Amino acid sequence: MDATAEFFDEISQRGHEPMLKRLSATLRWDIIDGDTTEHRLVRIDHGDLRVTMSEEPAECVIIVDRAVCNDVISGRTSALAALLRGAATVEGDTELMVLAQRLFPRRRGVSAGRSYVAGGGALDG
Amino acid sequence: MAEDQVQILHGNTFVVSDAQGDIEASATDPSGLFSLDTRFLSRWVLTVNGDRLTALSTDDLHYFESRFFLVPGSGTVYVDAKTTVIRQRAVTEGFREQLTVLNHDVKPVELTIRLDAAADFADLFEVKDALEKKGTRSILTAGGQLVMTYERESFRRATTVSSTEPAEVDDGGLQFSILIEPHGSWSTELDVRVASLGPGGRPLTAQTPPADEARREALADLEQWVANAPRLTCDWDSLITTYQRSLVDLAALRFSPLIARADSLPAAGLPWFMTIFGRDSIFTSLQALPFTSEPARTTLRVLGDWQGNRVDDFRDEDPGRILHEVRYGELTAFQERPHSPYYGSVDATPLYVVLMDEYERWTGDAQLVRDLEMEARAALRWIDDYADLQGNGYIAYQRRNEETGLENQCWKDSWDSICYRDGRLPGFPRATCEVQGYAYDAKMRGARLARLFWNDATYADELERQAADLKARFNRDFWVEDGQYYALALDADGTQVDALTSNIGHLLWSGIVDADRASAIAGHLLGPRLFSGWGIRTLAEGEARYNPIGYHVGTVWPFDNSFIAWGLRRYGFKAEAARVAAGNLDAADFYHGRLPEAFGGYERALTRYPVQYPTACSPQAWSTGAPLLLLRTMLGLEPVGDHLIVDPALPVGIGRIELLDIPGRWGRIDAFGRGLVEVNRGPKLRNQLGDPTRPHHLG
Repeated sequence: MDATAEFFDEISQRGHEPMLKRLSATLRWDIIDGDTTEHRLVRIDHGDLRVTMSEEPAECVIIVDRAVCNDVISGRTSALAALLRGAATVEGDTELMVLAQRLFPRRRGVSAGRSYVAGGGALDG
Repeated sequence: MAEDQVQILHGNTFVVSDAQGDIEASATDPSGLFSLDTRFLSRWVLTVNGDRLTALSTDDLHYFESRFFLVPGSGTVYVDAKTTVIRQRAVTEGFREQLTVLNHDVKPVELTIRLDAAADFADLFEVKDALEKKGTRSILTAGGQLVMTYERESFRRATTVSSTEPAEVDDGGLQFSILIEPHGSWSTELDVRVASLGPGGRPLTAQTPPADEARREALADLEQWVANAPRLTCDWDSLITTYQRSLVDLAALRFSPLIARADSLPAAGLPWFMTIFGRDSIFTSLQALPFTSEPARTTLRVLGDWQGNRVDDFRDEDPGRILHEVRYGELTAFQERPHSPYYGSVDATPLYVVLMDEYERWTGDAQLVRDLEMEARAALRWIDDYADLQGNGYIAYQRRNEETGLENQCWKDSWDSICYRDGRLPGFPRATCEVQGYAYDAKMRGARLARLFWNDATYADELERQAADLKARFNRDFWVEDGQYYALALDADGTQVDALTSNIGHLLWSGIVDADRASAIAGHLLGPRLFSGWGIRTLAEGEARYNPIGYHVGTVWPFDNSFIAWGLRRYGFKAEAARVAAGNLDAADFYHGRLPEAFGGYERALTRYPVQYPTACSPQAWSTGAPLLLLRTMLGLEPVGDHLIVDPALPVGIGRIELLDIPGRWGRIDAFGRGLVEVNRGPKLRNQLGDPTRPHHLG
């Protein structure tokens, strides 16, 4: 199981994120894996979390390749950096994308800075 | 930056050109059209029949609009008075330039008008460091447009140049062959559009309204902004000029980050720092609170949203930490720089809580304080859980990103700013004194918020206990007995870094100074080693590294002085606060109301004018905010419950200051200050010491 799959499993089990207590919103991740796209709809209700595999409209939609998604979730790259280099797109309310980062695993990040720029591996330099 | 460079901006798009309106950037020359920290035009040169032009005049119409009156021919050799060229340029997303050519001759004239255009797509960091590009550039000419594109993997930026009049377009620019009748004119509008593109060629940022509409909105918004601010009347003319300048500059410095809905917050400085800086946005918002609460509200929201969430060494991020700086350029996108965001600031986090409390005191906006409860708690937790790097209960800093992180994470961030009396530099981690004051203040203010808005008296009591303990320890560990002041810092061994600095003034603002020591601190601040006559120096004269034009080791910083004046008032030193205000505001008069980031620490009687520190950024947000905070301190404005206390103490020589319609939880309130004028000294003291010829102000 990759970081993306683990992440949605984990937040489904977590059920509540105190740092999102002020938030009630819907976010959808469209995760592109070759020719297929997986949808994950996360409903947040005052921090309570519910994850479904749904394509229905959301206030914020994050469209991203699976490899990049793995890197963002595990902390190898930041969501903003991925967005700036065109490796991800956000539609709708972008502030929700910022807040959604609070769902990411809290363990010590493994960011390798410049050596990780895109999904799939380390670059030289 | 050269004197003749013209800067105009809109949000974080800005143009730096010469007085003719031309852009001729080199790898290291910082002129151009910039947006999202990327240079979208590095060359934009106008010629008429192959000749460059000479500027007759250059007018800044608004902060987002300039007009250049030009004649063909360069300089003194030859000026053709038969033709006039007018360029009127307004920045939107990119810029629009109305180009008008007038023929003053009785004969028709044939002209070749050419605009050279090129884009190097340099990242701002590359402009500073002269780095090579890693991606590829391409040029496309089609449909009367010039499209310049840069690509590196999925990173794509493009500049499109077009014209309302038909142009011959080549890879290097646009050309017009025109005939103008006697006393006739010709005109075209050039449109330069910038695009940051994501997957599928979609723009990264939301679509913006057409340029004309954006321009009208910007103008209406500026008028509204100034109209909404309190009105100042007084018998000190230069103060009114300074106040007006501050309001307009603060409007120009508002910036909508890529990800913050449509709200705007104060960016740090124009042009190179048109981005979010945690520290600068917070300090500027604090300074502006008596005049407008919008910057504070947005700053709290945006910095709260971006609060650190995990431990990340590359970005120096911790849970609860408030960011230092965000950048949007190529090097950030590819993680060659850590600004996505970078968290290496030691003071922004406690200051975040300070701003939240001060904002509520002025506005009564309890909802925001409730909404951001988790963020404030996480910030307070960061102080105890992540910032105690020396293990002694004090906030300290040491970067974890050794390659591109910041070495000094306090406001005095230059390499030599934290020094002992004898000039030695301490090792890391460093615990600077002012940050301990901010932590104390954050805990005290956090306690108030917990009690009144978070329904958590237990937490409030705990915070107050911690604050009292911190104050007691601080007064023991930082007090320099033989100098009777607080050390600048504790070094890695817990030894005092014993230089005398302006940082002790911030301690008064935070309230961490024991009452019986306050007069000694005020004495140092207004004493000959720190006070120049214009303001308080960053480092005292007599310390080994003192240099009146050393960035943080001798210059006077108006922002620094404004918070020190507030601190002096907090401890009852009204006359001293007024002296600091008077010196700084006198200095502002020499800069037409726009205080620089810093000026020289030379003795006032020696130079007779404040010597500007050569710096690239003007206006600088917290210098723009300084006169606002100084006005607050002179009038003694303090929100207490639903009331605004007014307790004026004006500098000698000011007869009257009236600030009308001060907004807050009380609605609008007027504040009146009456001062003393020393009649036996004849004219008002406000005649500049440095300029005896200046006309006397009449009361």
